[in-house]
This record gives sequence, C-alpha cells and structure tokens, in this order.
Amino acid sequence: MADAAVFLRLAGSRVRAQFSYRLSFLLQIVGAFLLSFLDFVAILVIFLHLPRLAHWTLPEVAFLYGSSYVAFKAGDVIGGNLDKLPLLIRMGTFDQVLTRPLGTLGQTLTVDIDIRHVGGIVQGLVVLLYSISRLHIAWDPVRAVMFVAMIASALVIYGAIWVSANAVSFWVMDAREVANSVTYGGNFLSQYPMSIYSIWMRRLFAYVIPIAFVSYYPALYILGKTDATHSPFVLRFLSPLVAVASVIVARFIWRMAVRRYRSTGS
Amino acid sequence: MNAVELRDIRKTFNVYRRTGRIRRERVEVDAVAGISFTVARGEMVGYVGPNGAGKSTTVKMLTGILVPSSGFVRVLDLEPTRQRVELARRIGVVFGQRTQLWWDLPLRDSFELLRYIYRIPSDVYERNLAEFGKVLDLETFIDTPVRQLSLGQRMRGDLAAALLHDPEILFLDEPTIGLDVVAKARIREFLARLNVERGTTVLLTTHDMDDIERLCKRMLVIDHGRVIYDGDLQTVKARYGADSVLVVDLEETAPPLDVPGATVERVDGPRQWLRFRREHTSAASLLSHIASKAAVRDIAIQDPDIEDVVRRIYGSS
Repeated sequence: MADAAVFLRLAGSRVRAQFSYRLSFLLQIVGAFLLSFLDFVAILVIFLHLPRLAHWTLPEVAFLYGSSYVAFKAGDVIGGNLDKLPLLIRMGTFDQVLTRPLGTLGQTLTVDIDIRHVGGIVQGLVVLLYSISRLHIAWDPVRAVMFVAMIASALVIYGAIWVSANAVSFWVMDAREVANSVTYGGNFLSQYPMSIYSIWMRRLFAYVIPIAFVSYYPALYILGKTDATHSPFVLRFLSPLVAVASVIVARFIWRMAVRRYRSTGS
Repeated sequence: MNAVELRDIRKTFNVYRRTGRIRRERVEVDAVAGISFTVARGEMVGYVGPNGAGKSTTVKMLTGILVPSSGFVRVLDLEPTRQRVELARRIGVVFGQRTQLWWDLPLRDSFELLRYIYRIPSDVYERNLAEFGKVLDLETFIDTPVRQLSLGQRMRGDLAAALLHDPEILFLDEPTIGLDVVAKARIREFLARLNVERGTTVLLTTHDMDDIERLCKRMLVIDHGRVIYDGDLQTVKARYGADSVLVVDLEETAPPLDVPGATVERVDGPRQWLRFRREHTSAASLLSHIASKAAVRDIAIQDPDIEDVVRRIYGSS
C-alpha cells in the first residue's frame, strides 16, 4: 500500500495546481453546485404533477437521488478524469504511464483531479439531508450500517463502471460518448425507483450494469418499502458484494484493455 | 549476464486502408519483422535506421510499453510487459519527442514527484540531483515550469529525470532530435561520461550518424523491421564505403579536377562534387591539392547520413 501514498502525492500536486487559480476554482465549485440542482429540479417537476411515483413519495425519491448523487459525484472527482483517456491514448502519452513503476490505473486516475465536483457532492448531501428530515426512518444499528455501506458500495460500483466504460477507448478511438452514456446515464437512471422501468431494463440494471444496487435495493430496506418488482429479499443486502464483484470485473477489463495499447509512431 | 536479449521478435499492427468512400480493408503491417540481438552490460549501442524502420517500436517492446506479437524478449532477465513495474524501477527511458516531466510544474517539483514514484533513498536522490545539476547545468532553470523551458533545457531535465533512480539501462529514443550543435555536444558528452563512470548500459536510437560516431562502438542498423547490420562503426565505414563529398566552388569553370584520393562525381559550371573517404584522405590534403590547380572560392563537406549507409548495405548484399 506504499503505492497509495505515492498516488495521494500525485493527486495532491494536481489539486495544488488548481488552487493556484483561486477565483476560477471557487466559481467552478459554486457553478457545479448550482448546475447540479437542475438534475433535482427534473424530479421536482414530476412531483408537481403526481403525488407519488410508483408508490414512492418525493422525500423517498429524494433519498434515492441524494445517496446516489453523493457517491456519483465523489467518484467523478477521480473517475471523471478517465474521459481524458482517449487523449492520452491518441497522443501516445500513455507511454509515460507504462514506463513508471506504478499501476497503470492509479496513474491514469491521478493524471488530473477535478475538485469542482465537490459542488455536486454538496448538492447531493443537501438533498439527502432534506429527505432524511422528512422521512420517518426507523433508525437502528442495522439500518445505520446499511446506510454507510450503501454510500460506500455506490462509490465503488460507480468507480468500477467509470473504469470499465472508459476502458473501451483502448479498442475504439474516442468512445467517450458511449462511456458517458453508461456513467452519467447510469447515475440518472439510478435516481428513480426501479419499479418504473420495464422488466428487461430492470434485469440490465440488476445484473449487467449494477446501478440498482447503488441505492434502490438498500433503500428498500432502510425505508422499509415493499418492492413492487418482487425481487428476492436478499438483494437488499448484497450491495457490498456487488461492489467487490464490480471491482474484479473492472480490473480484468482494464488489464485486457492496456494490453491492447498500440502507442503512436515515435 | 545480458542487459538485453531479443530473439525473433515481431510486432504486427493492423492498419486500415481506405479503398473506397466507406469501404476499407485491413492490412497487417510488420513494424518489426523478426529481430534478434543481445546487448551486454555496460555496452553503449547505437540503434539506427531511417524513419519508420522500427526503431521506436523495438524500444517500446523493450520498455514494456508494447506487447510483442511474437518472440522472446528479456531485459535484465525480466519479461518487459509481464514484469513491467519491476523492470521500470531498474531502467530509465527518454523519448526525445515527448517529455516525461509534468508540464505545469517546475523541474524541481517533477524531480521530487519522481523521487516518490521510484522510491529513491534520500542520500541517492541528493547525490544524483547535485551531480546532474552540475554536469547538465540545471541550476539556472530548475525552478522554471517545464512548459517554459527551451527544447535543449527540457532534454537535459528529461535526462536527469530518467537517471535519478540509478537505472542499470538507459533507453534513449532520438535524444538529440531538434537540438542545436552545442546542445547536442553537451548531451553526448554527458552520456559518454555516464557510460564510463557509472557503467550504465545505453541503447540509443537515432538517425544522426554523428551521435553514433561520438558515442557508440557498436551499432545495429535496422530497416523495414529487420536488423541489416550489427557491428562496429569502423567496419561499416570500411566495408560499405560511407563516402564523404567535398563540394568546391571554383573561381571559374574548369575541367574535372584530377586529385589523388578523390573522384569527381559531378560538375556544374564552376562547382564540382568530389567523392572521397575520410579514412584514406583528409579534406585538408584534398583541398591543398585542389588549390594548387585552381582558385577556390568556397567549399562545403557533406558527410554520409544513415540513409546512405543503409542504401550501401543493401547494395552490397
């Protein structure tokens, strides 16, 4: 784990580079905070017309949204930089990553760190706190642990999705839009109760791109909801396992992808 | 023990060629088509060839950047792509066209980050920084952000960066490309010293024959992905006749000059091209012979370049 200290140092140097433009840095954070509220406004608009969405109230959906968004934006600070990967590959700068005695993924993730997403994290937290204040959650030790595990697992699952989706760049030049549709699209879809989706979409989200485990399944338990999709009860507790499995898959995909790297002419 | 060992190494790329408006066909191109050689520890080897010969591709396979399509590679007894991290700790790599440094950081901060990346003990780091700082004269620009450095300065910074961790082998890909004469001389002097004083093995790709002449006893010539010559520079010159050409501008038009040790290749008005071998005749003695026969206004000497040598090696085989 001595490598982790090196990565922290690399990340630190990137963050310091951003601090040197203080005003633009602050504006970016505030901008990200305000802009990210638009995502939540979409949900508010729905509830202007409907009292409930598939038996979910506004604070309940806000709970899904907030927990998913906090994790997603935290992942975005680091994983979001993977969208620079096509550039590294096309310019051949990935060569440099391969000549250093450190893991390739860690180096790619610390090529840049985008602190402005902190604005999005704050927004997610605000929505999450609002929902918790309006809901009457029967807090007990199990629910408290589940809550923490839910956010942590969500962060890891999103990280794995970022990595897997962006690794496509090694096969297809500039597959950024494809990758974004999976990452940003996945986050968007995870903000709603799974019961509003058709059966094949639910299967996709449960077993292929596991965004149903980001917040929906654990939230069912924490909020004490019945699942209109009649999924096995045990799924509510599986998010940490899904997170571990996602990491294993993502590592495998990344390793395969790096072997495909072809560099550029000298 | 060999520093580098390659046996029948190949690298094939798929290239898509457009054959119509939309239609395209896949063509397999051998960037490296079966190369074998070894480099002993402490050797300094020049790896030369025209553009597109496969030089960089070979270096990239030796440094773990590219996975060979087939064949056997060992560098310091390690398999470069499989044992990439372990190997990276023990080798240094410099690409002349690209910097390893952080663009927006001062040189000193880049060095500091590398110190952590390579886990360089602080006494080694301090000693190397002091020595390279002096020999490469880094002091004047060590606190300048890398993006503001001149090409020559950046190259010196890159060299120091690649050597801070005391690598056993240094791979250099076109280290003098684009540099002026003074900067080239400085880099060459530094490399020669490194090889002698520290015993660092150096493998250097270049298409500058001067680099080889000043630095390497042994050279490997590669073309179309194959090694076409492996031996010392003197032998190449003796065997493949790398001729130099003396271009003289006479005061007035004259018949082809008859000078011992040189043959007139071309005459164009008062200008004549005389082909000669530097090993047999010096330019000075040629010139004194010419001056005794005609009035000379101006002279220029063209030395053979790598393309000439390659052409001649082909011509003889």
